[in-house]
Amino acid sequence: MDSATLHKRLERETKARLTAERLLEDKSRALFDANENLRRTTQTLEHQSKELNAILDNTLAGIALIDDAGLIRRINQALLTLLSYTDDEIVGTVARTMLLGESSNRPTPAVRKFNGSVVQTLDVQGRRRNGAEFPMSLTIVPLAIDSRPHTVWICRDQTAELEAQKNRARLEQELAQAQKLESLGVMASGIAHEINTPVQYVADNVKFLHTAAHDLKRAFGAYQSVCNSIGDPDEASALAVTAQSIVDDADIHFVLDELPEALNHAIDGLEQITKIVGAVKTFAHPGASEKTEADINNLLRDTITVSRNEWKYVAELETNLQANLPPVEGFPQELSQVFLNLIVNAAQAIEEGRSDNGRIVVITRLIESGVQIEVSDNGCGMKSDIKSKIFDPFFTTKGVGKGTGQGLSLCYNIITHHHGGKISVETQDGHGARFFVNLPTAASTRSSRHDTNAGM
Amino acid sequence: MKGVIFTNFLKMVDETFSPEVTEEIIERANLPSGGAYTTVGAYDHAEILALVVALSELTSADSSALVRAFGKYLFGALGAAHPEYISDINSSFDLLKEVQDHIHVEVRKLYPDAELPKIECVSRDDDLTVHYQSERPFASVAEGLIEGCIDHFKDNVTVERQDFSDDGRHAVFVLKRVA
Repeated sequence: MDSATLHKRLERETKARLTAERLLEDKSRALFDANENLRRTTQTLEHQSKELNAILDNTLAGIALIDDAGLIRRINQALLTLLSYTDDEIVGTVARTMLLGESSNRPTPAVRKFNGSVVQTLDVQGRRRNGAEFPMSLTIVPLAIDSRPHTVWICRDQTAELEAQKNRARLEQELAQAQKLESLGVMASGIAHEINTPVQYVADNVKFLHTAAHDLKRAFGAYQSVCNSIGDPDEASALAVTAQSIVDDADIHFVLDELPEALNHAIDGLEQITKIVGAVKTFAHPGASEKTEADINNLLRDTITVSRNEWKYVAELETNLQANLPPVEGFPQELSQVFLNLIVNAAQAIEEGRSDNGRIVVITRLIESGVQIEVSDNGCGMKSDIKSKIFDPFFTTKGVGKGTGQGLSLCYNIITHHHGGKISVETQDGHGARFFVNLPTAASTRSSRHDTNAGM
Repeated sequence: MKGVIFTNFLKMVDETFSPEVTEEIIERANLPSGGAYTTVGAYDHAEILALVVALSELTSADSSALVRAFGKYLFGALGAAHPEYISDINSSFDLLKEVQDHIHVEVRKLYPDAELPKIECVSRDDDLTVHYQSERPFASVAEGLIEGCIDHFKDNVTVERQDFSDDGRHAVFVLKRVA
């Protein structure tokens, strides 16, 4: 290599070395910056992780992250406490160990039902470490981590809530019973009046029967004397005259003609009393704690009987009850209370509207969604602002002492919350009101319950 | 383009021709970098084309043949610098199949901004088809690299080149084992 070439090469190599050194410095600086960024990012992530852990561990709901193999990847303190496990004991185990009856390798029914794409909340039985079971609400939230399907399980112990629900149901039942007894108290004088009318004519007819029995006894005795003196024609003849006189005095022919009718009247009266007393007894019954099959038409007939004195002075009550209506599953006493409230409200609306031709119509019919009860009246109706509030608790348009504002609110609660039905009203100010109560049939209630259970 | 290509090219000219030829082509090519290459730097690929043209003019050698020869030389140089990538491999077919998913991944660790060609291999019986696609017209460098690879493993393999573009950016090499 000649010196000129050597010189050029040296110059080039020197320049290249300087370039390399500059690049090295740039790289070192970039590396330092990257390290700094990494350190700051790590600090931020650690801080965020601590915050998230604090939130996760201090939230009241139990939360677990489940991977695509069904294993618990992460679990918060609330769920550890709920299940009585430690983190080491449960992380990495199959998630179904949290659920009762899932110790085998069978897929968890709740998880099997979970279709993997939408958030679902299921009622399941949770299982603690010692095997104790408890009612648990399980919300499964699907998500993807690194493109792999995972789920977040949000678990809540339902023990206290179910207990509260039971207490609430008991209180509601007690309230309904109290209101029923209040209604009976309000209607007591009317019912007494209703019973008094048949009692009066039962008593009149029984008095007639009593007199008739006395007269018949006398006539029978006289004729018996005639029969006994048949051997002595003169005495027999005299006794026969006396007997005929007794028969004429007592008007025995009239008595004999009237006897069957008097007995029929007495029987009718007693049957009416029996009906009223039966209806009152049915109405006042505290009711079953479990739902039973109820015949809506029978409940309406009893309610109409019990409330007769509330409407008979202001309205005619017409019924159009569809025959062979399928039964409804529910609490018959609560439903009777609803019907009573609607009928009494109708009567009061007619009274307030001062209509001379008051008319209440009670209709039952089978519709697509179940059984529909319609109670309509031609009373005063309601303005739209009132209509929107009538199902609110304590709302009343009645004067002091006439309504507590619990009636329609109670109806709403009974129909919607206790029976899964609907209650609505169509009304115009001055043009009456038409209440509709829709209830599912017992068959459809059973069917939907079966579907729910099968899903679990 | 990474500086290692340039430094090796100049090294090849040094060894094959002479240092004087190397300096001469640098002067003739009138390069923006002045030919002061360092392996860790990155330079315009047009400079290597200019160097090849200058070398071809100076030596009257076919430029394609020069580029292919450089490819062969480059394989030897890279293999010597990074023996870890070839020491556990027994044939040219196996190494070529590693290029896209292994060797290029390693290159990116050192040079994240490297613009590497896309190399796809399809093997069938005794054949291996290597698809080459690049933003740069260096199919001949690739051909030389493949030949260098075959020579390294002493495989009895023929190479047939099919160009899919006129400018050397897209070509297919069909490698066949010879019994």
